[in-house]
Amino acid sequence: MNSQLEAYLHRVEAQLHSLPAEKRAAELRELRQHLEAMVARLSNDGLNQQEAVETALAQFGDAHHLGQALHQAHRAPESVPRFVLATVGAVGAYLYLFPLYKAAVWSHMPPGHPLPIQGLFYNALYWLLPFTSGLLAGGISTSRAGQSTACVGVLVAALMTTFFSFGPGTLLTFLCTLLAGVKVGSQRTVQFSLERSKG
Amino acid sequence: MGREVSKGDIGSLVLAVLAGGPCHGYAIAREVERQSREVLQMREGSLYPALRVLEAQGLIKGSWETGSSGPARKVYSLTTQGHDALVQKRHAWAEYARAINEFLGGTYEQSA
Repeated sequence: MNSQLEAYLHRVEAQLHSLPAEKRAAELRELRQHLEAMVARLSNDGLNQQEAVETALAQFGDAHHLGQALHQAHRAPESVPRFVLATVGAVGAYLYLFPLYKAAVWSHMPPGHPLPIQGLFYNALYWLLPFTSGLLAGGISTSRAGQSTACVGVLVAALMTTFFSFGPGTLLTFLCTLLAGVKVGSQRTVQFSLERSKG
Repeated sequence: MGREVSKGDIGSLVLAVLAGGPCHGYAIAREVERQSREVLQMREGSLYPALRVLEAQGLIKGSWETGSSGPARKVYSLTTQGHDALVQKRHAWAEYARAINEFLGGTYEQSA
């Protein structure tokens, strides 16, 4: 391949460094094929090789800009609004569900200081709620990664609340657990919707 | 002398081309030029980012296909969602063009 075209593709590639290697290779392969086809057509139209390459590259525009535009386009444009929507939904779901939970479980907590096991159990339930609210709001995850994250999140939340009671650690854990649920749920939703549209 | 397609219109044109059948990137660009009788010029530097966005939105689907000769090429086709989006875009464009034509098409008379 022409060295000028290779240099151009290298400059595009430099902007795609954060993409997975497979995606990056596919991107460059497609651009290369397009450039080669253009050069061949322009040569057939009567341009010499050098003129054909320069015309094709001019048609593609600045390599840096193309790379950046491709990089931006790969950053799942829907993920941010979905994440925001999922967070709002999760908070709403939590606020709606908490009184129900409180009536059903919290009011039946043993009086005084609960035994460690009971405390762990109740706290686990307490923190499971924001996580599952987040998960449901973001989209129910059936993946192994989603389930593992949920288990780890709940375990950490239960331990944290057991050790730190209801101090700043509790609030922090609550927010982290809620956001973890939202994040897992929303990511799975985006992936699922994209896979479904491709299928 | 062709006129460069504005970035905002590339998506619609790509969808319209793919409504005629699956195409690879190079063919999409040439088809826009051919169908517009060389009035519109598709700039490749804008085409590929637009294709990625349309893919992410689920309006088109790209897959690598091996032809009878030569290497595999990425071919794009319209999804059901893409068909629906194209119908909406055509409708919206017809409305817009009709409204503008009222002013610029000679049927509009400015009141004094």
